[in-house]
Amino acid sequence: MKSNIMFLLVVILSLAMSLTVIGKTNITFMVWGNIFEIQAYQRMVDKFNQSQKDVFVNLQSTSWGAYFQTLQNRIAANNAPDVFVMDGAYFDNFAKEGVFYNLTNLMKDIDLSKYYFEPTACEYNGIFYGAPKDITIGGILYYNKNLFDKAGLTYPNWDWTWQDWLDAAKKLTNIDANKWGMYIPTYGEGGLYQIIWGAGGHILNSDRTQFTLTTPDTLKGLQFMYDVRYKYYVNPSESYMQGLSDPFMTGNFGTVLGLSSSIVGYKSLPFKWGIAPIPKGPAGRYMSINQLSYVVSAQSKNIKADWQFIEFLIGPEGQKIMAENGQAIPALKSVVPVYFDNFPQATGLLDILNKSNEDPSILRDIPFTLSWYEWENMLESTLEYAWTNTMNPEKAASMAQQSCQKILDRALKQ
Amino acid sequence: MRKSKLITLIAFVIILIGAIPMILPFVWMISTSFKSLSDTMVFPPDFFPKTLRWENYTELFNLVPIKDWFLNSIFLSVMNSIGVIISSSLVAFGFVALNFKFKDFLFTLLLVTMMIPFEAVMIPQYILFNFFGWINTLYPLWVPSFFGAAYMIFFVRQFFKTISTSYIDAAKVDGANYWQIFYKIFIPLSYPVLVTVGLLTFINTWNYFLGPLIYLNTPSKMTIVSGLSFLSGQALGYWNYIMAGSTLAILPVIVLFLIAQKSIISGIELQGGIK
Repeated sequence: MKSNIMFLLVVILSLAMSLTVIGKTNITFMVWGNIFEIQAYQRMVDKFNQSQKDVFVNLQSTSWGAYFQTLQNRIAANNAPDVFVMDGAYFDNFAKEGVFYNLTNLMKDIDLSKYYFEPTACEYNGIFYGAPKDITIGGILYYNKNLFDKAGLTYPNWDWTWQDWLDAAKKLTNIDANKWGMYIPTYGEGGLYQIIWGAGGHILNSDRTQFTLTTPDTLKGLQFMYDVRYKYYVNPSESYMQGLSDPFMTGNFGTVLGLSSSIVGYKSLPFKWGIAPIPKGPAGRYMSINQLSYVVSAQSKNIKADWQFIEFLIGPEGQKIMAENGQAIPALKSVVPVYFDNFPQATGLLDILNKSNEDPSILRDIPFTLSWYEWENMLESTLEYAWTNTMNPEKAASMAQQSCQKILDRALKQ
Repeated sequence: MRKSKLITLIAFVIILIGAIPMILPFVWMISTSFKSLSDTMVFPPDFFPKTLRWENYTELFNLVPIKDWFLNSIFLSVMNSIGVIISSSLVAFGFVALNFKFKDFLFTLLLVTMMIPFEAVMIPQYILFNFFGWINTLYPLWVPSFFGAAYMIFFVRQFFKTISTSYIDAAKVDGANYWQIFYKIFIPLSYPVLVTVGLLTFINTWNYFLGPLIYLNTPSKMTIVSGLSFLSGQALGYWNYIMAGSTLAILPVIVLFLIAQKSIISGIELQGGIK
C-alpha cells in the first residue's frame, strides 16, 4: 500500500516536472570553442536559465574546426540553432544566403555607443544581423622584457616610429644565438593590414570592390616587411618560420606583432612581457578591431526568446561572466577592465583601448567582403613569394592584385 | 648457413632504419605530453622535456570528461565491429553462394559507392539522421555499420570466393539450407578474415575524427579522438594536453593490436586444420 502511494507520488511529481519543462520555450544556442571557452558559455547559459521562468537555453558546442561545417549541415537540414556565434570572415556570405534573422528593429533599443562595435562583422547591406559579442585587436606589439633588459633598451611606447622599432630590432637581433628583433606576421589581421595602413596604403578601395595592392603607398608597406627580412635581417625568413606556431612563446623574439587573443596563452610564459601599440608608420598608427557577433537564425520560431537571451549575453551580466573567464575581451566598454584583472601584464592593451575611446581612428575594421576568407588565403599565398625572397614585393603584389581581384569579382557578381 | 645469417642481418638493419621515422612521431608525442605549454613552443625544439610534467595527465582528467570519451569510443568501436562483421559477412555470402539476377551489376554498384568521398554524402546523410532525430546521439555513428560497409564486403567476398563450391554442394546434398551453410561452413572457415575485419573496423572507428565532430554537439558525448579537438581553439592549441590525451588514446589500440595479432595467427592455424 505504502509503495503504491509512493509510486503515485513519483508519477505526479514527474508529470508536474515535465509540464514545467514543456511550458518553457526551448531555444538552442550554438558556439565553438575550446574547453575553457565552452565553460564560460555554460556559465552564461546557466545564469540566464536561472533567471528565467519561460525560456530555457540549450548550449550546443563544437570545436572551431568543425563549427562552420556543422552549421551548414544544420541549416540544410532545417535544424539551425536559434542563436549562434558568428565570425566576420564568413559573415557576409551567410548574410547574403539569408541565414540570419533581421535584427534591425530590435537593435534600436541597444545603445551602440557603449560598445566597441565593428559594423562589418554585424551588418550587411545596411541591415543589422549581429549583436556585438567580443573584440580582438590586431597588430599590437608584444615585447619580451627580458630581451629588452638584457640589451639595455627602453620598452616600446606610444612615441615609437618604424625607425625606432628597426633600431631596437637591430640591437636585439643575434642570429648566431637564434635571437630575433622582430616578427611581422604575414597574414592580414596579424600584421600585414596594419603595416600597409601605417604606410598610407589600403587593401581595398573605400567601397570594397577593387583591390589596391599595387598603389605606391601599399607597396611602401610591403617593402618595409620585405626589408626587415632581407635587407636588415632582423626578422627571420618565412622558411625559418615554418612550423613555429607561435614565435613569441619561444622567447627568441624581441618584438612580435599579433592578436590580442594570444594573451590567454601567454599568461604563464617563463619570461616577462608587455604590450605596446604598433609603432607609427609614415602615414600614422592603425591597429585592427575584429568582432564576433551573436546572430539569430532565420529559421528560428522563437524570436522573442532569442532576443531576450541575446540582450542578456550582450548586457552587463553576460559580458561580465565572459570577461571574468578571461577568454575574450567583452565588447561592452564598461566591462572591459574586468577582463584585464586576469592579465596584469597586458595593461598596454588596456591603454590602447582607452586611447581608442578618445581617438577611434586608431582602430580600423578588417576589410571583410563576400568570400573574404578565399581572397585572404590567396593574398597570403601570393605575397609569400616576397616573404621567401623568390620575388620582389612589387611583383608579388601585382600577382596578388590580379588573383584576389578575380575572386572578389566573382563573389560580387553572383 | 652463414649467408642466410648475413641476409637476416641486412634485412634487420634495413627494417630498423625504416622503423626510426615511423617511431619518431610517437616519441615526439610522448615527449611533448610531459612538457609545459610554453616548452612546446620552444625553437629549436627540445626533443626531450626539461622536466617530466606528470601534471599534464592529472590536469587533463580534470579539464575534460576523458572517461566519458573513452567509454564512447569503446562503445562505438565494439558496436561497429560487431555490425560490420555481421553485415559484411552476410552480404558477401549472398554475393558468393547465391545466384540471382543482376548479381554482378549490384556488386559493381557496391564497389562504386566506395569511390564516393564522404564529403559528398555528408549533408544528405546529416539531413537523414536529423529526420530520425539522431543528432547529438551516438546512433549515426554505429547503426549504419549494421547495414554493411562496402570495402569490408568486398574484402570478405574475396576470401569467401576461395572456399571451394564443393563444400556448398556437399552441404546441400546433406540437406543443409543456406543459413546452415553460412554459419556452419563459411563462418568457421573464415575466422581469420572476420577477426581482421573486426580489428580494422575497431581501429578505423577509434580513429574516426570527422563524424563525431559533425553529429555530436556536447563535449561529454564525444569520442576520445574527436574530443581532444576541444583543447585547441581558434587562437591557441594546448599541445601538451593534446599530446597527453593522444598518448592515452592510442594505448587501447596498441594493446588490441598485440592481442589480435595472436588470434589472427591461431585463426590461420585453424583453417589449416580443417583442410
